[in-house]
Amino acid sequence: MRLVRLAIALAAVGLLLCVWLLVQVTWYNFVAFMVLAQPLLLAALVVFVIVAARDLKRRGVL
Amino acid sequence: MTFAALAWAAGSPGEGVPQPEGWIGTAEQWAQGLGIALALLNLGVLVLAWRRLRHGEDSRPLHALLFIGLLVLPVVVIFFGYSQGMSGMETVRACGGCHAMTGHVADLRDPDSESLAAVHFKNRYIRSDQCYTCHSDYGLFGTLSAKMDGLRHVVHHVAGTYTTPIKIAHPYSNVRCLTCHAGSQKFMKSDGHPAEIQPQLMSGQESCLTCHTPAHTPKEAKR
Repeated sequence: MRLVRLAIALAAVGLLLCVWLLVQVTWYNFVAFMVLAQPLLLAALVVFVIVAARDLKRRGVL
Repeated sequence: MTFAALAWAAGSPGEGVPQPEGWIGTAEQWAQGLGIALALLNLGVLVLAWRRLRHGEDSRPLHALLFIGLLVLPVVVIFFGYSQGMSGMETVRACGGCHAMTGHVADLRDPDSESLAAVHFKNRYIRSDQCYTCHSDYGLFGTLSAKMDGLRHVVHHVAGTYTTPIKIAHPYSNVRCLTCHAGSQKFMKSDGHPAEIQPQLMSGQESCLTCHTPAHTPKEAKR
């Protein structure tokens, strides 16, 4: 569960950066979107996939 | 309506000029509003999932929330972020956001300036995104190389590895001028462009900027 929470936290930070960009584009938030937001969202997804795969293995589905 | 209102609240483009599309907004404004709405929805989904996790829940609805909040919606939000960010970085405001460019943008907006850029700007020869229009090559690779140049500019800005007045990195291509001007009667019949010199202009042997100068007159260049 701790890993899932970490995934949610990473995604939330990434999404806040996306909202900042969507509200008003400046080069600051565009660079933040390119360099931080996307890797954070990707990291959140990777963590989620790892947790889901572990869970499925535990249940004998994988 | 909500999306358009969100986009409007976020700051609509234009300079007090009434938009022909009226209250309904532009496709870009709708995309902006939809992007904001989906990002907020995504955050809401994550908050719901977090709350359920706190109660120690491990149910299908929670899995669905996590799947939507960590996989489905972020992909859509990133898509809107790209669309908004890429077009937003083409604006004069975005170019002027760097200290190195403030002199150039001030000159561009100066109604008394007779630089080539200012003449194009004040007469609205180019309706919007004036910096980007003149400083990007046309076609798919032109857009790509302009974006790569932009990235390089950001690196120089952050690292401080530039000197003012900044100078263009490569010789200015005639194609950028000719895409709009070539074929127009004003260009064809101008005494400055006699028939014998036109092939040289078209091939780039003779630069448009040889005669049409200065392109910019930023304050720091006048010192």
